[in-house]
Formats: sequence, structure tokens, C-alpha cells
Amino acid sequence: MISGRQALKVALVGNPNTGKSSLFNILTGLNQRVSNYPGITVEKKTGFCKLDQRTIAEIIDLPGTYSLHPSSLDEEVVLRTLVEPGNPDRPDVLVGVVDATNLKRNLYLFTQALDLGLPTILVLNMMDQAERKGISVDIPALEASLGVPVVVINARNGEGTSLLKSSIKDLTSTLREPVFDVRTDAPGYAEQVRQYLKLSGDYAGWLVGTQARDLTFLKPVQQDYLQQLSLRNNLDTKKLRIKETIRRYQIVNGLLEATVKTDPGKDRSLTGIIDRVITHPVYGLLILFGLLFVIFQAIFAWAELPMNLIDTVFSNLSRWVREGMEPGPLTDLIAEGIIPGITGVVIFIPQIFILFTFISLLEESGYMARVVFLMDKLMRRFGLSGKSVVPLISGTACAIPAIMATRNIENWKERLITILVTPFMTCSARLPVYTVLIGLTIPAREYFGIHLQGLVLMAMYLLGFVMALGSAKILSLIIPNRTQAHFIMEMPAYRVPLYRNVMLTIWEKSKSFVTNAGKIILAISIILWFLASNGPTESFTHAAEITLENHPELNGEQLDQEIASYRLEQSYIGHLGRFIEPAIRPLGYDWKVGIALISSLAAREVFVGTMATIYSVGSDDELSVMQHMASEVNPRTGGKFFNLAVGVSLLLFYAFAMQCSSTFAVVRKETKTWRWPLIQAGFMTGFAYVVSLIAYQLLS
Amino acid sequence: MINWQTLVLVAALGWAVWTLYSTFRPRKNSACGGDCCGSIAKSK
Repeated sequence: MISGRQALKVALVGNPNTGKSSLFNILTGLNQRVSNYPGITVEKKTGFCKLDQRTIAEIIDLPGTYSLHPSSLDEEVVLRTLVEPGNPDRPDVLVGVVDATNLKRNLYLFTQALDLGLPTILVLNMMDQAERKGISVDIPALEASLGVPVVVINARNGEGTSLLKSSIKDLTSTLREPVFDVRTDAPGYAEQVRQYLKLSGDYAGWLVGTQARDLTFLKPVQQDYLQQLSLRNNLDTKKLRIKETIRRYQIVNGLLEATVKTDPGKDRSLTGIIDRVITHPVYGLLILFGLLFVIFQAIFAWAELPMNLIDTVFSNLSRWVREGMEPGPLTDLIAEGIIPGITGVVIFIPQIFILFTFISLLEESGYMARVVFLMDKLMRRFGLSGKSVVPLISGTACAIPAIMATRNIENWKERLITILVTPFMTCSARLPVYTVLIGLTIPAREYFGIHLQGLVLMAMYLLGFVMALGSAKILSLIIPNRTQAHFIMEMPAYRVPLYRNVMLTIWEKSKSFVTNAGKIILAISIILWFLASNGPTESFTHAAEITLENHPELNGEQLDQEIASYRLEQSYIGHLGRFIEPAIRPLGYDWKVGIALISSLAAREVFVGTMATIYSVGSDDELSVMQHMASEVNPRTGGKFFNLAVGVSLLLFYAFAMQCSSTFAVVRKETKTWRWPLIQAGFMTGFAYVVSLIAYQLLS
Repeated sequence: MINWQTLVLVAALGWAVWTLYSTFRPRKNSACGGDCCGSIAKSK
């Protein structure tokens, strides 16, 4: 058994998009998503790696950062790990991963890390791309200048990792002159900070001392002391940081002049040419819009066959259970509660699979970074940061991780607005609801080869996005600003997506949908089945006799359906639905929809599971959920209950209402107050009610 | 007399109620190892 206590601690440090996570995967063999999408490495990842038969290393994949002057919480993790005394993750060996195509910016961070005095190795990744760009590096000269071993690797195919392992194992601590001398601009200050906080070196003291007010891991009393210390020394810490940056870049420039040669004539990279079109304000947006169009058309067209297959299989399973098992409550539970509940989850896997195949391909290829770039100007107009696009796009999968992903937005106001508007984005939990409602109420027609239902689905996605932006604009005018943020990002080179990474993403997304959402759906299905199969009054127990008395003319299937309908009306769930019916009737909903609205407060997709349970309870045939819903008749009009007006009203309600208790909880956690989630839920649900009301009244 | 069908039913209901309860109750998010409670007030 590998134990962390015996292992050599190795930390990977580097800029975002340097292949750090890919190297981590190769070294540890752990499943971790690898992508060139900015900001993906926001959490610390650890894993074990065998350096040789006797030596084990614990590898820590630190979040990507551009410098040790953190401007976000995830960047601060890096500084904290490397300088904080007694930090459990403080490494024995530091591996600086740098992108050989962008050495200047990468070496800035590396020289900072080097000055911390830990045994360090420089790993040059993407040398193949650098060579294509006409960049050649004199490795022995670079080793001599920096005083550390330099290892060339290819993190995509694992080339050079064996050499890296042996270099880590054989690395010995050597005394070097620091790249940047902290004594030049503030003699004695860094040393005083080091002694006060018991830090490992003077440069650690410099880093903490020059940014003490911004570091959340320091106690207020420590921050106050360090501020007093800088005042006593007559130092402007901000100016010191600027001086360090200028001097360090001068040193890096000198280093590169001596060790790197560039032949611009050799640059055969197509990235620049492609980017001129892809990031063009008009063509770029057209391409983006076209891609989204293809994706949503594909979700409907390609997923149809597997979805029908799943539906048939589970319908037959339910019938088989009821015919094969002894009649009783357990058989009812399985056939009417559990199997329809599971169907409500599994049936949407094909669509999730297709959607995330596209998203993953866009991330892997490098296109997603261009989406961020394209949207920055637009986002600024709405009071959001270019970085807000990452959580907003993630919000199309699930608002929970998306809201957590806002933590790399430095500006408080931009971050809060992003948190508040992200739930408007069409999450994957809405997809099952939309699919059922669109399938039921929007005609399955094609115009000029365009699938109308697919078009409506795309419109729903756009509606969520437009609503998010509109709300953001209003919020940006209301919420006062605290600080100014600057958006820095890079354009990774286009790459052929790695099959392994795409498949891993799809697997993770599908698995998390089934295990997280699926569990809730199944639990609610069981409870709903119980509530629908039991009632508080005698009328429920004697439903058959009462129905027979009231409808002596009925027999056979018609009588059974009438009994089933009466039982449901008299059940616990019927009472609950009836209780809220007066409030939702103006929106075109009846008590059955009311039940689904209540139960989907847990998660939106529960709407489908609830409908599955409601419509199969007491029913003798195994028609699919959709068929059941489609055959529902409005007793007042005699027409279809789920007509266009009800369909549009429900679609709008689900698009705008804050119907996810998990989102509510995560907003509470991230804002540390009940105020914002309450405002958010009140506004979203109130707005949804009004819009759905108007839509229904206009269309009916 | 309680038969085995009733027992299975009660167990299923118990599981369902517990699952929902554990979803609603406030807790540290396990997806980030319980270390994801970064305060917005802290970020500058």
C-alpha cells in the first residue's frame, strides 16, 4: 500500500494551459479532466507516482497561475502552499512546467518559484510546437543560467516523462544566487517578515510582506503588524511589487536572449490565420451561432433512436414485472414507482452524451477559449467579466459547479452578478423538461430541412442566455462597485482533441447526471408513488365502489381509468395539488402539473419523473409518459390539455423560475448570506409567474 | 403480522426520505473535499 507519509512531495506549478494537468495525468494515472480551456485547474489535485522500485512521489497539481502575486482565490492557493509555514502540502521538490512557445511569460513565474529556494526542475513542454514556430532553445545554456535541471517533455504523448522521474529522484538541494535580490529595494524588510512569520526564506518574506493586505490566509493581527512594519520601513508595497515585475522581466529577457533563438520565417502555425476569422467580431459570432445551431439540431435528430429504444425496453420491463410478480404493494412500487423513475433518468442519457461530446470537443480543440475572447466585449457591456463566460457556459451543464467556478473572477461585483444570473442559463436538468414539453406541444414539422422542435429548443437556450445578460445589466446598475478588474487570458494553440479526454468528459457528465440527479429523481418517484397510492380519507380506500356507484354505465377499461383517476384525486398527492391549484390555474395548469411543480423544487428534471409516476399510477396499460401526457384531455374545453398555450407557459416557467434547491444552497454558501439567494429566488420565480401568465392568457 | 413485502416497502420509503433529507440539509460540498467555502467577502 502506498502511503503519503513515505512519499516525496512534488508540486507542479505553472501558467494555465501549459499541459500541467496532462503531465499530472501521465505521472499519476489518475482520472482528471484535461483541457486547454482557461481556468479549468481551479482545485488542487494529488496523486501518487512510482519514481523507481523504491521511491514513491506524491504529485500535487497546483492551480495554474501567471505569477505569485495572486489576484484570485485559486491563485492564492499556490502562494499559500509554497510559502505558508507548516502547510501540509508544502513540496519537497518543485516542478515548474512551462510552455516553450511562450517562454517569457512562463519564465516570469518560474523564476519567482525558483527564488523560494526549494529543489526545482524546469520542464519544457510543447517543444514540438515551438520548433514549428521557429523557436529553438539551447537547453545546456538554460540549465547553466538558471542553475536547475531542464527536462524536455511532450505532455500529450508522455515523451520525456521517464527522464523527468529520474531527475526528480536524483535532484539534490543546491545553493543558488536568487534571480531577484530582495535586498536591493527594501533592505532588511523581507528578512523581518520572514522572522516574524517564521517563513522558510527571504523571498517568501518579500512575497507575503508586499501583499499582506490581500492575503486571506493571514490573520488580521498579522496583516496589521506587517502594515505597520512596512510603514516603519517607509515602504510602498505596491511600488515594490511593480519594481519586482520590471526587474524580473529584464532578467528573463536577458536570459532568453542568451538561450533562445527565433526564426519567424519558419512559423508554419496556422493558429494566427484561423484566429483572424474565428475571433472576428462578425464572422466569429456567425461561426459560434452556426455551431450552436448544429449542436441543438443534432441533440434532437441523433438522440431519437436510442431514446425510443430505452423507452420501449423499460415499458416492457414494467409490464413483465407486473405480470410475473405476485400482485401487491411491492409489485406496484417496482412497476409504478421505481421503473418509471429510472426511465425518467436513463432516457435522457443519449442527449446528454451528444451535447457533452460537442462541448468537450470545443474545449479540447481550443475553440472554447476563443468563445471567451469573443464574448468579452459583449460581457463588459452587461457588467460581467470575460471570465463570466466560463461559469455561464458551464451553467448549461449545471448551475452548481458553474456558481462555484465564479471564484476565479477577481472583481466582487462581477462575481456576484455572475452568481445571480447563472441559474438563468439552460442547465442540463431543464433539457428533459424542455424535451417532453416541446415534443408534446410543438408540431414535429420541418421547414426547409430545419426541424421546428430543434429550433424551439435552441430558442429556449438563447432565451436563458438573453435573460441572464438582461438581469446582469440591471444588477450592474444597482449593485455598487468595489474594485476594478482586468481581464487577462491567452489563446492556446489549436489542437486535435485527445480521444481519451473527450471520452472521460462524456463519461463524467453522464455518470454525475445519473448518480446525482438520478438518485433524487428515484427517491422522489418512490415517495410520490406512496403519496399517490395512499389517501387520507375513506374515499380513497373505497374508490372502486364510489366510482361504480357514480358511473354505473361504465365498464372494462373505461371504468378502470375512471377509478384510477378518482383514486389519484383522493390520494395525498391529489390533495396537495388541489391545494395550490387556485394559484396556478391562471397559468393554465391543473393540480397534476401543480404536483410536478412542487416536486421539481428538488431538481427541475424531477418534473419528468413526477409526470411518469402520476400518469402511470392506477393505469393498466404501459403507454409511455409522453403518450399519457399527450392523451390528457382538458375537462373544460374537451381538447388536449397539453396544447400550445400550456406548453409555452410551462416552458417559460421552467426557463425563469429558480426551481432548484441545490442552487439556492450553493448561492447561500458562496455569498455567505441568505439575502442574495432569497432575492434571487424571489425575483426569478416571480418573474416566471408573470411571464407564464401573460403567455398563457395571450395564447389560449 | 408484518410480511416481507411490507418490510421492503418501508425500507424503500426510508431510503427515499433519507436521500431527499440529505440533499436539502446544509452541508459541506463533498465534490471539493469540503474545502470550497470561499467567502465572496474575502475575495478582493
